[in-house]
Amino acid sequence: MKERTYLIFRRLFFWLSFFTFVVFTPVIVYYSLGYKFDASSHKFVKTAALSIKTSPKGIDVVLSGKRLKDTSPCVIRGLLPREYTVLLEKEGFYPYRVHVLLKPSTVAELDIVLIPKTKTADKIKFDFNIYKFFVSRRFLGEKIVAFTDKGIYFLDKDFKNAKLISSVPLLEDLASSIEGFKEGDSRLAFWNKSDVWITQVLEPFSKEESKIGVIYKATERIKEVFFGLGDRYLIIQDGVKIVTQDVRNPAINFLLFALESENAEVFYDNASEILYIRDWAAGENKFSLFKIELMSLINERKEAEKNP
Amino acid sequence: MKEKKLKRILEIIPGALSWSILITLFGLAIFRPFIAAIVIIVLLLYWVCRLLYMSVLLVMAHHRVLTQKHIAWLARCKEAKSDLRLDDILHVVLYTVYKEPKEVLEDSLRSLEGIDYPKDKMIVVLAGEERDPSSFDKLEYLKEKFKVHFKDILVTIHPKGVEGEIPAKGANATYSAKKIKAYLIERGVNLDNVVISCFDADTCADKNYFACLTYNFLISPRRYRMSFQPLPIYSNNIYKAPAFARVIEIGSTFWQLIESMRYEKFITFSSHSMSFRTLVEVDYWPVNMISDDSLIYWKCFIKYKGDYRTYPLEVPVYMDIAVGNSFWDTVRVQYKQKRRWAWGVENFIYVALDFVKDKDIPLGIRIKRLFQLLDGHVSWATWAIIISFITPLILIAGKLILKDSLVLFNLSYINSIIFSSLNLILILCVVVGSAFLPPRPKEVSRFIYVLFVLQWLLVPLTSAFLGSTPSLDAQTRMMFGKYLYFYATPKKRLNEEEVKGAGNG
Repeated sequence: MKERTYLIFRRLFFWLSFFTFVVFTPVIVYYSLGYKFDASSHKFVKTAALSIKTSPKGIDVVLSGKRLKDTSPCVIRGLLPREYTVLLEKEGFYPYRVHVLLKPSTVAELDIVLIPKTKTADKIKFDFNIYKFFVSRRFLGEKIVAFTDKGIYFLDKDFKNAKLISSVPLLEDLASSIEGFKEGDSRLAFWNKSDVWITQVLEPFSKEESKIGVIYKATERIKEVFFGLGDRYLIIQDGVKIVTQDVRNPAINFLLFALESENAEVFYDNASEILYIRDWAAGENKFSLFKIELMSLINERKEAEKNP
Repeated sequence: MKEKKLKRILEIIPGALSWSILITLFGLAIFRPFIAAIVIIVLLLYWVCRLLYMSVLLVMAHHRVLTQKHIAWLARCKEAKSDLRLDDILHVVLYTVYKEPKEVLEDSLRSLEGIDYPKDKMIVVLAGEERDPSSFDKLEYLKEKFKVHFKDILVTIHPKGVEGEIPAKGANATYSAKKIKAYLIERGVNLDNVVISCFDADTCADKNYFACLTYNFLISPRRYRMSFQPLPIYSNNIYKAPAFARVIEIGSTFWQLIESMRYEKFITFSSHSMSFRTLVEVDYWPVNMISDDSLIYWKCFIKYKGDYRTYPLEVPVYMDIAVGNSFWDTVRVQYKQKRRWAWGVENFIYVALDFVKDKDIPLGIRIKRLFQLLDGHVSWATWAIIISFITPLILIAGKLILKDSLVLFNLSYINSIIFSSLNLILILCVVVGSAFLPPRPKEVSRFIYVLFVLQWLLVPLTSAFLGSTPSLDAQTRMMFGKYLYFYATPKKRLNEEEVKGAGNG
């Protein structure tokens, strides 16, 4: 091919590129801004877009009565600004209907989780009479603590494995009255209104039998229990008292703090060893928030003893 | 206005323009993401159209090179209808040498020894530097080894510290060319019939290069008004260089291919050839500037009042990919080499200063050429940064500030469509790039071909960090008057162990 032929082709493609830019740029910019030519009114109208995301994906979308070809996730562009009814449906899930008001030049986003229709539930394969259960959240996932007629068990959340904590059978009345439980590093504490029990969580291959024993008896009513001070104490809210109970010796407990109100709430953060209390502030006639930094107090006392 | 003041203003313009574009877009992205999105959509569309146009040029240039690959150029020379005969033509091949290893020069001379052209019509000049005394013996050794193959081999040593010169390739080449002129005149050679090729030390000529050059010189009635530019293919060590360096240098070859189709703005780059008479008339290469290879074109363009062009030769020369001693050293070497190339922005100042005074060149041409120079350098410094950093920044800022804005939502959509369509251009790069691959050495695994395809995925990274950044660096230095010294890219031949480690980088 001669230089001249290349030049002709080059010029042809240059002008083609130039006109492509000149013609398409305004069209694409207008389109990006949401403008669309409305054939019926012979005018440019501002449109909006609707972005639909669902869990699970692949849900059929019906927009104001019109079923779309695309399933979710999808983006519907060029919609006139007005209210639309979006129906999301898929077999096996409850249909989800929502009204969306689209404003000009905006994109509305729907992020919907569809609820499956359920008729059956998985049952654990172990032959227990379960009186009470709690879910324990751990760093590596959840465990289910089950109080059964055959003792206390840790269950995996897939129901495949059961680890015996204590084979001491619990009476149905007692087990059913349990209001809460807390898991320490190697112990499990659970309570009802009047008693706190404690049991050791043994190593998987231990042949020892873990025992259950009452560690604390309420003088008023047990509301909340926490492990504290390196799991060596239980912090117990008993009526208007906050008591520390040695986990190894039921005879040793101390009154940590006397609360003003029966409606007081406590939370013990065992990472920072701080006790937070929502209690009635006498003289101010309102509830306020208090805190007791236990480790700081212990250290202060130690220092005071060293340097009297 | 005093020339010094005007020069300073001109030095500020490219950097100021590039920084203004980037800062404005950055500011818009943060404070006015809506406007930034519209601006970016327009810029992206402009960029795509330009890229498509350049891809067409690349295909055309590729076609031009491939279709003329098997032409018997020497036979054509013999049959050429010209006022000159083949026997009248004398070639001077000038290699500028500075610290290049002996092996690099040996390879270059061996390629010259193997060309399909009468070697008794060729004078080889090895132009060394007094700054590099270690090269004296090396040059003498090479002269002795190769002198039997050529009409003559001359060794010239450019003295250091000459007033008015900077230590750069142009000063060395000019010193050498003046010596050659004296040598030729002494032997009664007509300078009109001498063609000089100024080669980097690593330039290996294709076996048809001098026949093709001679043919074009013979048949062109305007032979004293044109330079001859071969296609530089960076393939001497392509199987030994890291992937990112391969991508950058193949990109340089592609750029030359594209530029070779834009005849009216095509300028000389790196190794090139021209009439010796013309070289003497324009007073040789510049001795006090870094980008001597392109400035020689502009010197001629100005001297002949715009009546000068660069002819893209159909036959390539093969050069080295700049590599260092390690991966990071290669990054450093590549960065410095690209910054030196980007220092070619000094052409804009040189040309603008002359165009202000010189009214003989039509105003339209002066404005057009200046705009082309400025556009080329500003685009080089900004495009990859806009695409790799500013566009994602606008998308992120838009998500945070204008969550429900349709234009930002559409920008992300347009951006994804554009980048998907760019895959087609990447396929084109793979196809065109494969045409310039030399045979695979036995010690290199076939697996490298897979890497040769995958390496193109590095384009966004390499174009931003080793494309735009060195260019912006060069323009910023010029803007603040921090002038660059000439960086001689190290040339080396990797040993076998280094070869095994290459290709993965």
